[in-house]
Amino acid sequence: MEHSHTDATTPGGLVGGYIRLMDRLSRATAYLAAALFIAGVVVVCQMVFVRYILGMSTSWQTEFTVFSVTAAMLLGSPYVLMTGGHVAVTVLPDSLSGLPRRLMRLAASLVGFGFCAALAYASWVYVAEAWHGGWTTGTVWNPPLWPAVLPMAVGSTLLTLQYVAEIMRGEV
Amino acid sequence: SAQTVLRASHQFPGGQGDVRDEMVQMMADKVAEADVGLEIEVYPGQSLFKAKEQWGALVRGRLDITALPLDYASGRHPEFSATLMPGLVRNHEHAQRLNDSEFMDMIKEVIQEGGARVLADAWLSGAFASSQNCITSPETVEGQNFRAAGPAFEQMLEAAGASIASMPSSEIYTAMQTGVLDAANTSSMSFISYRLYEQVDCLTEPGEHALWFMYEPVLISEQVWQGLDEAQQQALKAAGQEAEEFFATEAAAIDQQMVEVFEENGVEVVSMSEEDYNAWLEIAKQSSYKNFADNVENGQALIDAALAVE
Amino acid sequence: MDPVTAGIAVAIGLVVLMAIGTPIAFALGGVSLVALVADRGVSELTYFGETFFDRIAEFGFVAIPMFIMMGAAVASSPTGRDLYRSLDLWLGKLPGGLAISNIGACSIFAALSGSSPATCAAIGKMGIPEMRKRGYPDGVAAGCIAAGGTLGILIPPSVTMIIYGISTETSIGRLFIAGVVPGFMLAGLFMVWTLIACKLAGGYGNPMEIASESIKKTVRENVDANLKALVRVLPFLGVVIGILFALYGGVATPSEAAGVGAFLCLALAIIIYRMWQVKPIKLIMRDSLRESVMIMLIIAAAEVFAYALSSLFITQTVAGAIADLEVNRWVLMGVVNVFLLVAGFFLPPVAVIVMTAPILMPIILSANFDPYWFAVILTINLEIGLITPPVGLNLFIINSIAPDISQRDVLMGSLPYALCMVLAILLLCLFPEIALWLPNLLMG
Ligand code: NA
Ligand code: NA
Repeated sequence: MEHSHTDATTPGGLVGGYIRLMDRLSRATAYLAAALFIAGVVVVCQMVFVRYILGMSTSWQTEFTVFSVTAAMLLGSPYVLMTGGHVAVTVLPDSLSGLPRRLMRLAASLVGFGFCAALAYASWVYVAEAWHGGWTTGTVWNPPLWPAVLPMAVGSTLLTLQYVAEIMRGEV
Repeated sequence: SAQTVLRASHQFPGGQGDVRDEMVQMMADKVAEADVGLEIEVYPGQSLFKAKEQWGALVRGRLDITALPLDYASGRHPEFSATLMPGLVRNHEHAQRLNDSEFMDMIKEVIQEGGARVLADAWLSGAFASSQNCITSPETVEGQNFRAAGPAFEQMLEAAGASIASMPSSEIYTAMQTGVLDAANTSSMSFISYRLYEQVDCLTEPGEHALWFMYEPVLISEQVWQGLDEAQQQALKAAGQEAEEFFATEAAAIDQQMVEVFEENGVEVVSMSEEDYNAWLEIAKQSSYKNFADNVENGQALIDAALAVE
Repeated sequence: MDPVTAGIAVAIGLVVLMAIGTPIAFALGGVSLVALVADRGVSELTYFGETFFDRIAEFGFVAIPMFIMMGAAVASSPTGRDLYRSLDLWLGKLPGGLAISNIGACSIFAALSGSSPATCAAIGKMGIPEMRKRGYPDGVAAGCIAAGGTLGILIPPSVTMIIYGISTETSIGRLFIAGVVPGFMLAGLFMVWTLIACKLAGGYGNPMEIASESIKKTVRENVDANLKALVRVLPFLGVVIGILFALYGGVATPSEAAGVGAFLCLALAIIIYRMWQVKPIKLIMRDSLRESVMIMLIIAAAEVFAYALSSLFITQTVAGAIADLEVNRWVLMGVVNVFLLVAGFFLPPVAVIVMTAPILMPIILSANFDPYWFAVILTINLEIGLITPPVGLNLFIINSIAPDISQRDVLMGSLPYALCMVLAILLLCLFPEIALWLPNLLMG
């Protein structure tokens, strides 16, 4: 995936190493997300073909598509954060300069970090419950639920860690 | 005085005459009348929790009361699939007898273990309709694009040669209109409220030998229940009992209303004969029942217990 | 907690978090989570993952990323350029023709894409530099692309109509059709204003003269190339027509049509423009991922926000207060429009719909307004929000395409188009048939 950050601004040492590691991880999950996204599209086409051309029943396609596309959206989110793609209102911070601006940006990042960390925690709770309870989706296909939720847990965890990297990047 | 406020959630339209909404509303009124420091606030039409979130919220005490199709929680308690299983309930009188059976004791035990308690039993009947030909015997569904209500029905209909398309009941109208669907099966209530009489040529009413019945009880969170005092519990029980009786009389009336509305709109109305019903049961035994028995611990025992009810 | 106090606290919290620059999705989610935990305890945090996941994992929502991918496949390939060239060939001779063909290109691209920023970006990348080169004032160049791009959510397919259909249990297919005539009417209004703006700007070295001169030359030199461009665009238009046919002719539900459309556009981009190398495909996937992740996270957060508002009884209190006003239904409609307009200033369309549908729908229905007609009114309202600060997604796009056009020029250039949209809303209120005629004709 393309990315907007120039490596020249990335500091060295441990901090720099962490930022580079996170960027690499976020890019890697973006590839995974793209693959899941395409898989969802292909399966919908397969479903339309089977149902309307062959006139046969479809059982697993709807659910598979929902889970793969939802997974793609959550696994893609750290990459979108890294490339500044989550829309924000920056009129006020942009009109400031110096320390006030830096503090405001830091505050915004901390809020984002806090929410993502909470989401990551809650996602792992959901995965653990679905796993221990042996929960399924309750449909004809009836697959186990935890693999569908796992990408949200992984995605939001990476998103949280990527936020740390963004805060480090902004502060040096 | 300190009022305890309980939040009740359901997925049905509020204040528009849907019997399930009226049932919950009625409980709220009765509990208020009892004057035991208890109040029920009703959140209709998925305005608080979405239909499929309700069970999970209930058993954690995030939600106090709900009226929901119990099958929605079958992902967490596979036993619940037995409450949306073809042919296990034949008609409204049969549903009443089932309520006091060993089968329902087994189901209620699972509900209890899951963390909830039944306040009112309710069995909802449903129908089949098609824009191609009347659905009676299993052969009549062959080759039709079908939307079925519930996984067990999807399995049975597919075994009979229908091709299955799953979608929410709100999309049935458009799907029939555009020809994506030839036939659909859903509750009598939905057949009326989604105006499906405008799209179909033949309706199979539930009648004496209905295939489709669904258990849709009013439940309270066990955690919440334990936190109430005895007077409050009594008031809820009494309200539940009244709501249950109200629903039982209304359920048959809805079937009648559906038949009238469809006939007024020029739709042919038929019902299944005993032979049709038995032929379907044979198919169900080889598809939905078999899957259920194979995949659910205690599955065969549940089916046997249900079939044992005269 | 008293709902009024809670409502005020939530509103202030949201405004503060958004003002300091927290991404909208995280601000919405963060405020909701804090409000829920404060009101109902820590179990709301523990089981938050369940709420978040269950609300976006829905087949209807799958259509949104897929329509975005369909648009990205076209936008990242040279289709935008070709579309643009062929329109230039036909319309370029008119006074102000280039600006008009930009709006035409936006309308056609809107039929290929479900999203407004994508439409704006696809045509703007070509259109803005070209218009400036030919002497159009910066304001007109930026304004007509910003406004033309908003058509992306009015002309089907439309991301916002999908969300509206899911939130209100109305037919997505019927909503799509309801947007067709108003979409082209609005495009017409935009064109009329563009002509007027060009005339008014006559003092700036007569852009129309320069434009038509330069186009005559381009046309003479490039008729051949332009015709070829047209031929390359036709298959994409074929896909659009095929999708409309599939949706209304009984082959597929909206999500299925979106999936097939995305697949076909991706395949066409690869075949027609020989984009079988890894790089252009990567570019398409990057663009579709970036926009759909951004939108889907906002939808998920807005869903959670709507749940929090309902849980704190804020939704019910506000809806009750509005219902108790017992005013004339058109006064009510006016109030609703102002409310939507203000919400649109700050929030992207998808968020506004998810958050307000539970409050507005019962009011609209009980006042006897048609839900399909209202969907069009709502959409045009939110289109205005796309070209107004502080959050105007299309303004962000214009800024990234042409950073050297001053904010003031962009805003002043866009403002008259926002007034065109207000005019369109008035026309729709006077003649509801503009929205309802086609769906009634096609779907009974
Ligand atoms: Na569009
Ligand atoms: Na705005």
